[in-house]
Amino acid sequence: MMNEKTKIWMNKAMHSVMLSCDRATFFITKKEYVKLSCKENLQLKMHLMGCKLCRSFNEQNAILSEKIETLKHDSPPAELSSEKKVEIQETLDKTI
Amino acid sequence: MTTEEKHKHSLDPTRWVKEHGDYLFSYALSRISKKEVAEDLVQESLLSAYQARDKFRGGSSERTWLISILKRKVIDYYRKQSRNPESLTDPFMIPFHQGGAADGTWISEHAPASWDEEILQDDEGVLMEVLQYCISLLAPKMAATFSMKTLDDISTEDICKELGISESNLWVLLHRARLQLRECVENKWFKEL
Repeated sequence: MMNEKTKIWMNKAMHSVMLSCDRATFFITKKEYVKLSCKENLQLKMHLMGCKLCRSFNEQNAILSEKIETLKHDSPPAELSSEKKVEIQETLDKTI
Repeated sequence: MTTEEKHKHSLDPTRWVKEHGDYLFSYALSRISKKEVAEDLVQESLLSAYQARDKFRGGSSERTWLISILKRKVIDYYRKQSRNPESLTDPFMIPFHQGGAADGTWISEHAPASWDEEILQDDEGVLMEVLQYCISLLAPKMAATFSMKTLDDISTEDICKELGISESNLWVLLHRARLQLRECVENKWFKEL
């Protein structure tokens, strides 16, 4: 049996290591942009081992990052309306 | 004329709308998602470009030069939007329990569901559209931070300076943007198909 002091110590230790899902998804987002510190990385890995929902968030967030990467380089082609083209051209002509 | 001068690019403002209008508009729309705003930014950019034509050195193509002016306009727009006092109270639904024994754990109706692999592979085009639509729903400050950091690779320091936010604020906004995007894509794409 653990004595009371050990229990309190264990509890504190758990809290300093274990992340909440809120915090875990914060780190998952952060690692899409920068490298996490060793401590953050370890905390995240431990959380992910035990949390299926955050594992899903991690995978889906990576899928989104990949799609966003495509969006970044090729803007989907769009056309300026002909009315707006005429309007811009007229404004430019006035200036020129 | 020296060889160097021959290779320099020149400007022809009379053809800007015809030759670069759609291209500039596509870029603006991919960053702003609001048609009218994107149109106006293209117009403002071309007028600014005309006024600044003497500064064009010919080192880059006409199109690259025009895009660089438009990029600046987009950032100015973000800045104005995010400094709008209304954006201080941007609504955001936190998908986690707040307080109590379940503090910081997922609220079940907002938690990630599994995404169907087959749908993922078959409907990539639709996913891109949904993603753009979901980005357009982000509140101004979140949208600005997310676009600048993710789409334009602007440094954290510069974003904080432009938007007047702290670095920890930036990470909170990116976290929220990602939470909202994920849930929006899931609802609009997987559940409504």
